[in-house]
Amino acid sequence: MKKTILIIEDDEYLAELYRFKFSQGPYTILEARNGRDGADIAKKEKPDLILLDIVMPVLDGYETLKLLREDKETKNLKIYILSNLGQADEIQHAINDGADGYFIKANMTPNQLLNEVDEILKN
Amino acid sequence: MEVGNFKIFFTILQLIIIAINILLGFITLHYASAKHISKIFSGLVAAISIWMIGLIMVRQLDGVIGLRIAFFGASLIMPFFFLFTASFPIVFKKKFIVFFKYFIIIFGLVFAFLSLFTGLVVENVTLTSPAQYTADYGFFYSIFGLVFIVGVIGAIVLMVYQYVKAKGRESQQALYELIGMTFAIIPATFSNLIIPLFTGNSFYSNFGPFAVTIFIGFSFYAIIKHRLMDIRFVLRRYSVYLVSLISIILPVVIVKRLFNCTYGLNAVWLDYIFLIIAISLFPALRNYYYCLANRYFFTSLYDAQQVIAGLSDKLSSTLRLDKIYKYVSDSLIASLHARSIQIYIFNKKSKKYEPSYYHGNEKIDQNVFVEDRGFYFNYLQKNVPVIVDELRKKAYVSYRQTIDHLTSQKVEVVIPLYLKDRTIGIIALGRKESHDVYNDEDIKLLETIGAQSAIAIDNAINYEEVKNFSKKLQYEVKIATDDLVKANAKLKQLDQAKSEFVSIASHQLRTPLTVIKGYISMFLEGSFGKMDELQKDSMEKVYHSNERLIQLVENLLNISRIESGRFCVNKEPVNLFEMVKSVVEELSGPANKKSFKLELVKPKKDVIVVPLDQEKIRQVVLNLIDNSIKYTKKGTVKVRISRRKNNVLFCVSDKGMGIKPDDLVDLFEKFFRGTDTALIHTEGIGLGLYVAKRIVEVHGGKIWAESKGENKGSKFCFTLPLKDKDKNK
Repeated sequence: MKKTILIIEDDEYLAELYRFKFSQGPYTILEARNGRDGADIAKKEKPDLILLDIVMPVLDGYETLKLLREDKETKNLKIYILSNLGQADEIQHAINDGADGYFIKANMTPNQLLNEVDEILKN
Repeated sequence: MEVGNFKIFFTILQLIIIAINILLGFITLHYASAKHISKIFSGLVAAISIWMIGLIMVRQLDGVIGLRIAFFGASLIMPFFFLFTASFPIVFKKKFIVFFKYFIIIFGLVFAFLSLFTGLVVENVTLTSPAQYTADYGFFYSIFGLVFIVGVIGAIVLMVYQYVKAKGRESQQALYELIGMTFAIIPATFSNLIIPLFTGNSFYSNFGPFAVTIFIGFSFYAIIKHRLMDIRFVLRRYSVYLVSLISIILPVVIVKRLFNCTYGLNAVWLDYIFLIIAISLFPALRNYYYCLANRYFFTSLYDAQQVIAGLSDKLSSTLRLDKIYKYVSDSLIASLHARSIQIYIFNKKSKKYEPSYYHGNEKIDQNVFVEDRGFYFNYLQKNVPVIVDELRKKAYVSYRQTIDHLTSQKVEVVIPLYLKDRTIGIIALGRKESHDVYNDEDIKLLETIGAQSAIAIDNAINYEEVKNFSKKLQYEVKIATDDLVKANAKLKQLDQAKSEFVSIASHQLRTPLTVIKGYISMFLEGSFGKMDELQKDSMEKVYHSNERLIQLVENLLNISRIESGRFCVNKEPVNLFEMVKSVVEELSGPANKKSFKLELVKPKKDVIVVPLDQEKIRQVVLNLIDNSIKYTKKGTVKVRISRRKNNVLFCVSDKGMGIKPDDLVDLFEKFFRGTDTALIHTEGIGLGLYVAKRIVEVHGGKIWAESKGENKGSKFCFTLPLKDKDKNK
């Protein structure tokens, strides 16, 4: 059974890039353009992994993370931050709010990210 | 009353008067400050006394000799009298008066001689009753009488003239003299000269001496009142002395008498004992009386020394202006009993005297006091008190405004507050409660107090200015501080805005850069079909440039964080070798295309786990290796990792252009670029090493560069501690 990855990302091009890359692996890709939609989809679909951007319209990544962690249904989902914010305090903030990990977009090629995701979803 | 008794009584009275006259003359001679006039006065008193003694002798001893002595005295009275009126209160220097003076003197001397030694004035005297005598006068008697009358008239004319001309206290003195003359000399001239001359009746001549004594009293008062205030002080001292002496001697005499009467003791040794007791008791008794007298009889008198010393003590105790004014005012009012005291301080800017203090019983509207031109220079620019009344008589026309103002304020004396070279203000005193004028002694006191007060007031004003200045300064500093606080708050706001801007801008920049990076990497990986070598090579160049752009944005963000103090690291244990390996792999592509190799030397121990901020240290490693690649044309770039005691050492060395020794020091400064690097690589902005240094330092490590010189390659190293010293950070 294919695993499901929810990409919550407001940038059209980036979302498309990641969708294209992850399609090469054994994954079903779900997408949301903002945190509110993302949270709704997460609640409905219970994806195996959520890649969450931080700077987004409507509901930003931090708030979305909080929302998901407070909800019983989404509390235990794997949520990784995939953002271009990469300062120590920003990372710490996300980890404190319950993120399972943190990826900085600019520092990774899509291929490297795919490898990391493979690793995460192996078990 | 029996005639004999009357004669004795009269004689005693006359003797007492003579004694009083001599005493007054003596006192004046000794204590008067105006020496010239007191000599003349003493001479006059002596002549009058001789005359009186002569008159007594006529009735008591020998008629002829007595009357001759009397005429001898009278002959001398006239020149002294004329001299007195010609030099008191004003000394006359007009020629005809001087001539007249000499004429009277010569005439007086000649007559004195003739009266005493010849019968030309008094031939014979016959006593007709105890109070009366008839005299046979000689030829010169009439001439004497005429000249005497002329002299008296001359003196009266002079005195009236003086009274009209004199100013201030001199005018008052002239008035006393005039009163004295009217009530004394004129009656005496009638009783003792004119009546006997024309009627031959000598009875009234008995009253002459009494009348003359009135004149002496008035003159004495005129002299001491204005010229010799401390004579009262002397009199007080002597009277106290006398009372003390009497209260010692009287009991001693009584006790001695008692001893004598009851025990019949009258030994010399007893007298000695009494003497010793009396002498030892005397000083204590005298002091007691002195205090008593001070308290009940002489309260209006003061001791100038004490006043000055007391004020001096008080003035030295404070720097407060209001207190100083109060002290000066208190001591002046206590000693002089002035009805009012005002203090004006000269304002240098407005050139006006500003009222600063008032105390007293007069109703005065204290106004700013503007003086006439020249008044300051002529009168206030010296340490001499100005008596307004005298000034009015002397120079009313010149200083009309000033004098009118002072008069309207009921000011009688103006005391300049004079310092060495300038006058800082004035003290203006009203009249005395007693309506007395200010005498010489007062003026002297005021001079001293003026000088004393001037120093104290000047000091206090200066002190206040300094105090005000420091207050003003504090105020200014407060305003400046407030401004700074505001400015600082605004700057903080701006800084915050800037940081936010940089943060957002860098984030926004990175999103498209990430897209570029992602697609190119996929191109290179063959996701969109295989590329030929040329295409791949070009794509790699794009990829690498994009990487630099990403680093640049990252550095800008770091700098902004460092500047705003929000730069922090998030340490976690990381395998440094693995991290460096991934960076080397990432950079190997472009490096291989050049004519040099990028080589990672494997450490002896594979696993070197270091607590570090992965993103940040990765940036440093990337930066240093990328630098080496950038500045190396050919050869190998070697990357090594090794353990050094408690640290891990990272080094990247190349055989590139090297670094000038001068540049080594500044290499890690912000915006520093090697002197020639701009020629080779134009895209650097000099932030990479600065950020790298900060990152390494925040981790507790060190970073440095080594180079043997230009074109001899360079080596960049950093160390990181293997154990995190401060886990909380």
